[in-house]
Amino acid sequence: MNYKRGKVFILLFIFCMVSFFTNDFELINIEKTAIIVAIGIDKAEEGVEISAQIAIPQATNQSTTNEDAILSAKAKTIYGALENISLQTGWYPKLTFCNVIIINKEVINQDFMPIINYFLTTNRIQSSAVLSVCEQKAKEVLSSSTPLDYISSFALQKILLRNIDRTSSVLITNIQDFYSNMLSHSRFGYMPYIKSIQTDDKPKENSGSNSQSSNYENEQKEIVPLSSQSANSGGGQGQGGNTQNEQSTLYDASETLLFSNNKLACAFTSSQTNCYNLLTKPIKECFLSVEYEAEGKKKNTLVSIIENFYKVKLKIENGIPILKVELKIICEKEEETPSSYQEEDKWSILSNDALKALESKLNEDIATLIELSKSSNCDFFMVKEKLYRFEPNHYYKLEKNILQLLDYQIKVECKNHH
Amino acid sequence: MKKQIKTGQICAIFIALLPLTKVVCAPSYFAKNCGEKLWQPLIILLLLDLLLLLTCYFIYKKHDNKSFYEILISVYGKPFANGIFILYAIFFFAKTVVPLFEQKIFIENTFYETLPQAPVFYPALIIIFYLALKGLKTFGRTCQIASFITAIGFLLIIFLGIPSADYESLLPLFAFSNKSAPICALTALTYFNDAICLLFFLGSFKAEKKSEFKIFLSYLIPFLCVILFYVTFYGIFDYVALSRKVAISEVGIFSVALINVGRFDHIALFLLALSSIIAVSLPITLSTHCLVQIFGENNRLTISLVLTLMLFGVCVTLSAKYLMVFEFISKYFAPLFVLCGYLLPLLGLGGSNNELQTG
Repeated sequence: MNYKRGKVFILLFIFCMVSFFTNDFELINIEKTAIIVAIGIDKAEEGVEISAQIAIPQATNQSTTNEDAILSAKAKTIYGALENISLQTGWYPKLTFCNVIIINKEVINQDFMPIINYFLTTNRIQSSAVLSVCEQKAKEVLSSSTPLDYISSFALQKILLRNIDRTSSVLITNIQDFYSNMLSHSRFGYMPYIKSIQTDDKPKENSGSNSQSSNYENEQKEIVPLSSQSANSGGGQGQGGNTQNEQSTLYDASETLLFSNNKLACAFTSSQTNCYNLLTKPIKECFLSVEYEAEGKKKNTLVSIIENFYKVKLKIENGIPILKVELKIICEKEEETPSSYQEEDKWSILSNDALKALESKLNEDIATLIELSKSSNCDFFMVKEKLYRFEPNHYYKLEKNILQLLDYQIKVECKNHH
Repeated sequence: MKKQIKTGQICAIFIALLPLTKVVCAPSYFAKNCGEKLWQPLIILLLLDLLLLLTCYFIYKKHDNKSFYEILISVYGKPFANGIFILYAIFFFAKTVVPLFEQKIFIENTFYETLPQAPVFYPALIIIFYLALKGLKTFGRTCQIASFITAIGFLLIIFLGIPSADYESLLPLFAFSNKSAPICALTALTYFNDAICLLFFLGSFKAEKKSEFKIFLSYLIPFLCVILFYVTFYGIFDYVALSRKVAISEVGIFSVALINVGRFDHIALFLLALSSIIAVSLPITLSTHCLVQIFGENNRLTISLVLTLMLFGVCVTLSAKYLMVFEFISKYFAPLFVLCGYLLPLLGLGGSNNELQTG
């Protein structure tokens, strides 16, 4: 009897295994599915217009342009627009591989949190997808051609996600971080601001390399011709690749938009983005230019930051909230003009004057950031969050006007690498 | 001769099954109700369960390895014992529903690209039926294997999650009162109160050297791992933790190892999915055990079949309405969970030793 029952159970077990392992786990049917790699969101007359960029294999059609690879639909909600894509085109939009979401600035100016909320709560897209804002229409950004990559969103990813944990030139955020910051006591968020830079339509040979001298300040960007920027393209700006006969686009994401209480509050310039990154995450690749006077001469030095140690703490002293910012930087000299060859130059050692100038510049930049936070009432140093977590006894007393009462102490120390 | 369950098997049951039902949808429920203080209701539940373990230990010492059913008969009479065991059968059946639905959600969400059209989850009920039919001894043996599977899968998931967690999000630890902690603990009893199993192992339990100490540790360590999982989950997702419905499959996804190597956390998730089916079988096995005590061993097949079919019916009709079912069970069954989980075991402490020897 037991032997028979054993056989029945073995058969049942085999049946379970067969039903389990012969299933295709509902894997996507590639013929009916559009694999979306980026989404653009623009304002429509009623609601939003979604532009979804599909991944098309490069070898299938050499004449394929970014415009051909875009599906778009309008609806009152994001969900509706995505469904409309499916209904109107017959393609099932598969968002699992969507890494970039580009939102037009006009959308940002209205109540955009329901959009972020949808992306956070839906299972269709991964919450690590990067959020960004663009000044022109998102559809145009996605359909633009760029020498960086044959798919424009891949080019954007190169700029936004390039060594995500190392560089300081772009302040990136993803759906989860953005929403989490917005729900925090500080109620702030940020997104990189993508600016498209049109290159001339003359054919040109590009080197294809992305060198590191990225963070020369804005004024330096202005004096460097675009065609020669290919050699020093970083700072959230990129260019490279092939011979181009048509007008093509480069992207600059070094500026950042900041939000407070679900509304646009202020913006960071490239150098402020750099400085904020230095205070919030470990950086391995950052370049700053410093101007100073030594021996009666004006000097301009490009400094490479090797390592940064940062502390941003909130202390309540005699009822006054004080933000204590400490930044220690290990750096070395990359380049100096006018060059004055000295023995220590071969070790890339910065002179004491250069170090002091760098300290004072960073001090000034940090103070500007704190003042910006106070004036725009955008708590991007997470002062309220720090108050809640580390000084809970003062929370109810100070929460409402802490930014106005906030005092600060800044300590910057720069040291040579060697 | 009675089939005896060994100390090692009881320990294996706790190690293999204790963490699994608590790490699917429960973490987001705790995060929603208690925010950064989600560990507080867990501590309440842990303390209650440790007290329950202690109660079981005293019952065991007092009644010299009699089963709970035998104790109730000898002290309060057979009709009373039958009534209590019917109540326990309902209790265990109700405790199965929410975790079973969550396993279904876990498997469908994690392993399928799109919602599966075929009823892929239901063959799991065959395993549940089999374990209910075979009884506690077989269950204990199964758990000896499952304990390794769970330990490997669960620890891998936790270790993937720890580097991405920011534990500062749990601050402040004690400032601001958290009035929702006891209510959250009360409404989440459907996931917890596993120590109650020990009460039904009495009588078929073979005490060994330092048994009580081993059982205590095998309960405490997995529970502490569950607390670690919850705080890691909150450390990773912070304010959006409440929106992460299937916590177990989300905790590891920000790991640098996954970014570089690929989703090898799916191996751990497959292991946990296997053990989870056994975990959701435990209450049904105990429900069968309760009814078998009343209706006799001969009816075991019928009882286990009826219970599995009832579970299948509930699953088919209500699994799409998970939230509604969860709210209903956590709200209206909470008194039953408290009564059966923490109050009725005290009945085992009644009766004098003499009475028991003669009775």
